[in-house]
Amino acid sequence: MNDTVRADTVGVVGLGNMGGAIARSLLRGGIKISAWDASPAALDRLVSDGAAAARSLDDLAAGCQVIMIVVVTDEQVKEVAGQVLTVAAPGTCLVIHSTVRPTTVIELAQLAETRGCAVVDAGCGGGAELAEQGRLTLFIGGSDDEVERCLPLFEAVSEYRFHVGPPGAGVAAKLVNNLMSIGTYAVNLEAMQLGAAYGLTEDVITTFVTPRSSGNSRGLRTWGRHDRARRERRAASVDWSERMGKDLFEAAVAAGLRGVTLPLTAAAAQMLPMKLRQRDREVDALGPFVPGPRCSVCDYELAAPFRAAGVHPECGQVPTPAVRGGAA
Amino acid sequence: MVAEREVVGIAGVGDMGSAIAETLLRDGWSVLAYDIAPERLDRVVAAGARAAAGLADLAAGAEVLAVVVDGQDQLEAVVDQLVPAAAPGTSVIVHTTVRPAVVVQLAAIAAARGVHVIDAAVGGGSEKARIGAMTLMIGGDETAVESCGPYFEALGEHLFRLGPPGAGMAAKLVNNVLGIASYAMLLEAMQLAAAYGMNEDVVTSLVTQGWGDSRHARAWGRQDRRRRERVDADAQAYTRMSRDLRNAIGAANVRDVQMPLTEAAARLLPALLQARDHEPDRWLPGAAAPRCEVCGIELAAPYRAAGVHPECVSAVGGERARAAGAGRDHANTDVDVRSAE
Repeated sequence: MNDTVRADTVGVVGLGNMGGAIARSLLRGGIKISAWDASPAALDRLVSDGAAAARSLDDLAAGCQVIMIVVVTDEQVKEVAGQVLTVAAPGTCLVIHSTVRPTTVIELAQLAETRGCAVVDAGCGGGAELAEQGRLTLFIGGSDDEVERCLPLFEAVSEYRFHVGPPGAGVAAKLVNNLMSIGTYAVNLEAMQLGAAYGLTEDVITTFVTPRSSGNSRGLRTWGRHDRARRERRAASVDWSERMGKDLFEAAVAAGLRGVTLPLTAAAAQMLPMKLRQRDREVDALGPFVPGPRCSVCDYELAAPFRAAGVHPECGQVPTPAVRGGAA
Repeated sequence: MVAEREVVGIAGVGDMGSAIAETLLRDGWSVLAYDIAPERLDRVVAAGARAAAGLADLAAGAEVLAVVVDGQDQLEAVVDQLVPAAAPGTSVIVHTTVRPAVVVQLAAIAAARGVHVIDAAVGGGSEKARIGAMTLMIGGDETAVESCGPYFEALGEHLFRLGPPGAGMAAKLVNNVLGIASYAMLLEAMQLAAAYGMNEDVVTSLVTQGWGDSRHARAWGRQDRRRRERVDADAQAYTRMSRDLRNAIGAANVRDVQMPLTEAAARLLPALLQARDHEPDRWLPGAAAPRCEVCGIELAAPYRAAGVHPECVSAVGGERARAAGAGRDHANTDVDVRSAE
C-alpha cells in the first residue's frame, strides 16, 4: 500500500511558505506532485522545482488519491476541502497541514466519510525553514489505516511524527504543546518577578530549580531564548508580543468548542501581550542586550547551570525515536 | 560550633518531620522529637528517636532545633516557645514554608536572646527527605548557617545558601510558583487533549520531545498519586497548592509586585484538582504508572522502557545506594550564591 502512494501523484494545494516547502521536500523524496495555487507565480515556481501544475483544483482532485492542503485559514481549508470532496474519487485521503481549529477537521472528516473519503490532520511543528529541510515535527490525527497509507509522505517532510488520535487530534496536539510551553512561560515570568523582588537573580533561580524539581522545564533550561527571539523580531519590525497570547487563545477556543472551559489558559492569553511588553521594557532597562551563551547542539540559550558544559542535558542524549501513539 | 552528630531537636514529626528524623537517625545522629499528636511521636520513637516532654524540654535538650510544622500560625507559636528555653547560640532551623517576612521577624525576636533563626526551605517532598536527597534553600546569618553545615549535609543533596534570613523562603516561593502554577496549566492542557480523544501517555510522549517538556510531564501521575494517598485523611488535599501560591502572591504584593496569573491559578486549582479526581476512570486498578528506579517517582510513557527518567540517569548508583541506607557516597551540590557574587 505504501508503494502505491509513492507511485501515485500526490496533490498539494496551497504553495505559500509552508506549502511550497513541504512540496519541495516531497519532490526531493522522489514523490510526483500535482500542485495547485490561486497564485500563478507560486505555481510557476513549484513547476520549476519539478512539480506538475494542475489545470484547476477539480483537475487535481480528480487525479490524486492523496491531497495535501496547506492553505492558511479555516475558511480556506473548508472551501478547498469542500470543493475537492465534490469531485474526488471514493478512497481519496485529504491531509490537512494548516493550523485550523480541530473542529474544522472533525466536520470535514464527517463530510468526507459520506463521500467514501477520509481526512487526516497533520499539524506542523517547526515552521517553513524545517519544512524545507524535511525536518518538521508532525502531530497527526486520523484512522490507523489512513495514517499508515500517508506515512511515506510524512517521512519525506518530517523528523518526528506523533500519531495522537482520531481526526482533529493532530491539530489539537499542537495546541496542547503550545499551551504547555507558552502557558508555563507566562507563569515563569511571574515567578521571576517574585524572585527579583527578593534579590534572587534569574541565574540563581534557574540553578536552584534542580533537574527533578517540579518547576523544571525546557523553558527554564533555555531561559533567555524568548527575550532574544522577541528582540530579533522587533529589530525586523515584527511585534511578537501578541502572538503567544493568540496561540493560547486558540487553545482555549478549541476546548470551548468541545464544551470544556479553560479559564486559566484564557486568563494567560489575555495577560500575555501586556506581560511580554513589560518584560521587554525591563530587559531594555538593563542596558545593551547581551545575548547569553547557546547550546552547542540545539543552539538555544543555556541557563546558568549548563553553561560550563556548553550543552543542555537533553541535548547530550540520543533523541527518543518518533513515537506512534495509536488512535484513541 | 555544633559538632557533627550531636543532638537535633525536631518540632513536628508529621510526614516531612518524620522523614527528616529517619534520615538523621540512619546517619548516626541523636534525635529528640516533639509533636502534639502522640501517635506521630510514638512512630519516630519506634524508629529510634527520644521523645521530649514539651517544646521547652526539646529546646533545652538540643543545640540544633528543626521546626517542621504546618503553616505560619503553628510556626510562630512553636518558635515563641522554643526561643526562651533555648541556650544562647542555639540555631532554630525553619523548614515550614512561610513568607520571607515571617522569618525576618522571628529572626529579629530570637536575635535579642542570642538565638539564630535560619530558614531552610525544602524542595523535593518527604520522598527526598527520607533518602537524604532534599533540596534546601537556605537563608540566615552566615556563621550560624556554617555551624549547621553537617545537619544540612546529612539531609540535602542540593544545598543553596542564598542570603540573609528569609532568602531561603523567597526561593521556595519562587519554586512553588514555577511548580504549582505550571501544574495548573498542564491540568488544563490535559483537559484540552482529552476533549479531542488523546490519552495522556500520548500527550507526555509528544510534549517531552519539544518546548512543552517539563519535569511535570516526565513524572506525570505523581501528583494524582500523592492526592490519592492523602485525600481521605487530609482536609487540605485540594487547597494546599492554592495556599502555597497565595503565600507567594502575598510576598510579591508587599514588594509591590503583582501576580495576576498566579492569583488565577490559586483561585482555580481546587476545582481543577477535584474535577480531575472525579473522572470515573482515574483510579481504576492498574492505572498507576510505573516508577523511576532512581527517584521513585512516576515515569511518563516515554521513559517506561528505560525504567528511569533522563534527568535521573546521571544519579544512578549514588542515590540507589543512599536509598538502600548505605550513607553518602557522592558529593553534595553546595552552592553559596553569596560568595559567588
